[in-house]
Amino acid sequence: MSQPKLAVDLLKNRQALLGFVFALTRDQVLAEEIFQEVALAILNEGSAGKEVDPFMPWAREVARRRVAEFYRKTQRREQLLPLSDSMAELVALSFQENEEDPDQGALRLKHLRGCVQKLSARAREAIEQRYRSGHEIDHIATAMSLQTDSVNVLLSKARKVLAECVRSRLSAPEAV
Amino acid sequence: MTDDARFEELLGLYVDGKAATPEIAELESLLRQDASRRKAFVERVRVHVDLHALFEGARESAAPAERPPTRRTHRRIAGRPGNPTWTAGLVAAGILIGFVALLLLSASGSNSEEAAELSRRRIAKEDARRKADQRLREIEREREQILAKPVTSEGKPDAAKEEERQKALQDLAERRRRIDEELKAALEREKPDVVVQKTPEEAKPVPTPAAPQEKKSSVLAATVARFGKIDGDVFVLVAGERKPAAPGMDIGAGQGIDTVGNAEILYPDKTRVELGPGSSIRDISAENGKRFRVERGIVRAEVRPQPKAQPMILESATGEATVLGTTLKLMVDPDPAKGTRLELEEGKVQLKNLLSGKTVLVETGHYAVAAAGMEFKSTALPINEIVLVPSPDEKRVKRTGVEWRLIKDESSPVGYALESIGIVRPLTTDLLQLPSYVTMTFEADAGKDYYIWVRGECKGTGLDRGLQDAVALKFARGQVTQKLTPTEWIPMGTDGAGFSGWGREPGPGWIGGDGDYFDSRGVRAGNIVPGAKRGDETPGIVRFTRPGTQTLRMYLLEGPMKIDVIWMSTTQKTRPDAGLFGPVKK
Repeated sequence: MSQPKLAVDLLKNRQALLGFVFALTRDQVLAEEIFQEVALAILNEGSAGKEVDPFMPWAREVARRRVAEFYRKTQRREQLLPLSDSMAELVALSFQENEEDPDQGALRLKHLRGCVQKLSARAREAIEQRYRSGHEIDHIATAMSLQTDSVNVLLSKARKVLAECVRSRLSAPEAV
Repeated sequence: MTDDARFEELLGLYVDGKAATPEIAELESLLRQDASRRKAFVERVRVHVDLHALFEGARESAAPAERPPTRRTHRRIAGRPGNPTWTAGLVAAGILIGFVALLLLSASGSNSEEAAELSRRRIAKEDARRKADQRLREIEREREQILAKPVTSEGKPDAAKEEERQKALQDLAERRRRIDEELKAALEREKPDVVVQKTPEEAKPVPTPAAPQEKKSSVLAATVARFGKIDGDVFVLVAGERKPAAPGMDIGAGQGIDTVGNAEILYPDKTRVELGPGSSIRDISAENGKRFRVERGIVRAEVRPQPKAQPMILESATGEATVLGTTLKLMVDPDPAKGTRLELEEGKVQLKNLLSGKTVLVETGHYAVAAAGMEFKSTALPINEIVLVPSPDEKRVKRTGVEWRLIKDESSPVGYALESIGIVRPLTTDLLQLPSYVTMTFEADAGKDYYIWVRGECKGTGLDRGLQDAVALKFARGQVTQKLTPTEWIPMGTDGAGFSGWGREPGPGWIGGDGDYFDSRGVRAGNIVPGAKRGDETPGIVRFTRPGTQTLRMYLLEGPMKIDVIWMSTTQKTRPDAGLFGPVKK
C-alpha cells in the first residue's frame, strides 16, 4: 500500500512539528498528546487525498489550532496556561524563519547521539538524569549534590552545546 | 547580566517548563529584538524534543515511583499483574481488574514459548479463581437460606431443627474449606516454572564443586530459608559436604546449593527463588539482607519488598544485582565473556558490572549483561505479543460516549467484555467525528509488523447479523496495511483497520479484517457458496512509527457486538482458534 504524500511528509517532519507543539505548550507530555491529535488530523486529510505543498506551514497551522482547542477545553486547569497570542505568534514566526531541511531529520538524531557522548561527564549526567530517567530538576539537584539553579544552568548550557554541535555536524560536508 | 546571558537563562527555564508569565514576556521581548535568538530558540526546542526521542525507550520504562506523575504515566499499563493475595470470600471477578496482559517476549523461540506459557498460566489462574468465586457465591446463598429458615416449632425453640441447621452450616464451612484448598492448589500448579535456557554449557551436569572458598558453616547454622518444590537431583553444601536436598529442608547461613534438576527456595517473607538445572549458588545469608553468590546457571526470583537499607543482593563473578522488590531472572555463565545477564519482568534492579565498576538501573521489560568486552547498558526486551482486554481501569481501557459498555462476562478469560449498542453506520461516516469510542493504551516496538486479531461475537439475531458485526481500530502512531474494498467500507485512513464478519458464524471468534466470505471472483458471498473464502485470511497489519506507549481507539461500525480481546502479534499470521484468548504455548 503506498502512503499518501501527507503521511510521508508527516513522518519526515515529525520531530520538527513536535518541537513546534512543544514550543507552544512547554510540556513534553502534553505536546506529545496534542501531537497525536495533530497527526491523526493530518493523516485523515491525507487519506482523503489532500496534498499540501509546502507541508510544514500548513501542518504548523493545524498544530496551532489543535493547541488552541486543547487550551479552550481545559481552560480551568491552572497549570496549563496557554501562551499569550503575541508569544504564540512569535513562536510561529521563529519556526517559520528557521525551517529545516526535512531530509536532515534522521541525521539530527544520529548527530545528537554523538554529541551527547562529547559532553563533559557532569553535563552528560545531568542530561541523562533529565531525559533518560525523566527526573525533575529538584531530584537531579539532590542526586548531583547541586543547587537547583546550578542544575538549570548546567542543563541549559548542555543543550546549547548540543544544539551547536548538531548544527556544526549537519553543516559539515559529509553530512550533506 | 547581559541580555544574552539573560536570554540563555530564560530559554533554559522555558524549555524546562519552569518559566512563569513575566519570564515568558521577557523572553518574548528578547526574541523580538534578534533573529539569531529566534534561531537559537528553535534549535534549543528541537534539541529538547530530540533528546526525549533519543532516550524514549529508557524513559518510557521508568518505574512510576521514579518519575513524576504525568498524564502519560497515569495512563501506562503495568507490565504484568501483581501476585494477588488469595482471600476466600473475596475472590470476585474484581480481582481480575488489573489483567491487561502486555506480554514482553524475546525474539527467540524459547522465550516466546516461555511468555506464551506464562500467559496460559495466568489465564488458567484467573479461570480457577472465577470458578471458585462462583461456587463460593452459591455457598453463601445456601448459607443465607439456611439462616433464614425458622428453627422454632409453634413459636418454641426446636433443638432438632437447630442441630440440623448447625450441621448444614458445618457442611457449608467444610465445602468452603475444600474450595479454598482446591483453589490454592490450582494457583500453585499454575505458578511459573523455572525458566530453562538450554545452552550447551548450561545443559551439562554440574561437577561437584571443589570448594576452597566455601565458607565452613555449622550444621546448626541459622536457618535462612527452606526448600520448596524440588524436581530432579538437588544438593545442599553443608560444611563442605554435599547432601541431597528435600522439600521442606532448612537452608542455613553460609550453605550452598547445586542443582541438576530444579529447586525452589522459599524465604520467610515469601520471597521465592527458583534455580534452573545446572545452577550453583554459594554463601547464602540473610544477615543485613538476603544475599547469595551465583556461580553459574539460571536464577529466577520473585522478591517481596525488602527494607531499603537491606536489599537482596545476588552477586556473581561479573555482576551484582541489588534488589528491593521485583521479579527478575539472572543467568550466570562462568565465562567472563558471557558474564551475567539480568532480565527484569517487573520492578527495577541496580546491576553492577564487577569487571568495570559501572552500575546501571535495569527496569521493567529491560535487560543488561555484565560481561567482559560487552557494552554495559539497560536495553528494552523486544515486545512481540500484545494482548489487550477490557478492564474497569480507565487508565488502561477508557470508554468515551455511550455506545460501548463494560459488562461482566463469565466466558471471557478476564471476566469482562465490551458490549455495544445496535447500530449501522452509513459509509459517509467520518470516524474521527464519532462521539463514542474505546481508547486502549499499551506498549509496542516500532518498525515491527503486528498482525491484528480481534476476538468478538455478533450479538444480533435474525437475517441481519451480517450488518451487525463491525468495528474499526485507529492507531495514534501506527501505519496499517489491510485489504478492504473501499466502496464497501468507511474510509479508514492509513492508520485505521476495519473488522467484520462475526455475524457469519455463531458464537465468538477471531477476525483480522473483512471476515465475510468471498467467492473465487472476489465477490462477497454467503458462507454456503462452495469454495467461498473469508476476506481476512491475511489479517490487517499495524507498524508503529515510534517505540513505547501507544494508543488505539476502537469505534463501533455495526452492532450489537461484543469484543473481549485485541491481539497484536508478530507471529500469529493465521486465524487463532476461537477458544484461544491470546498467545498460548502450542
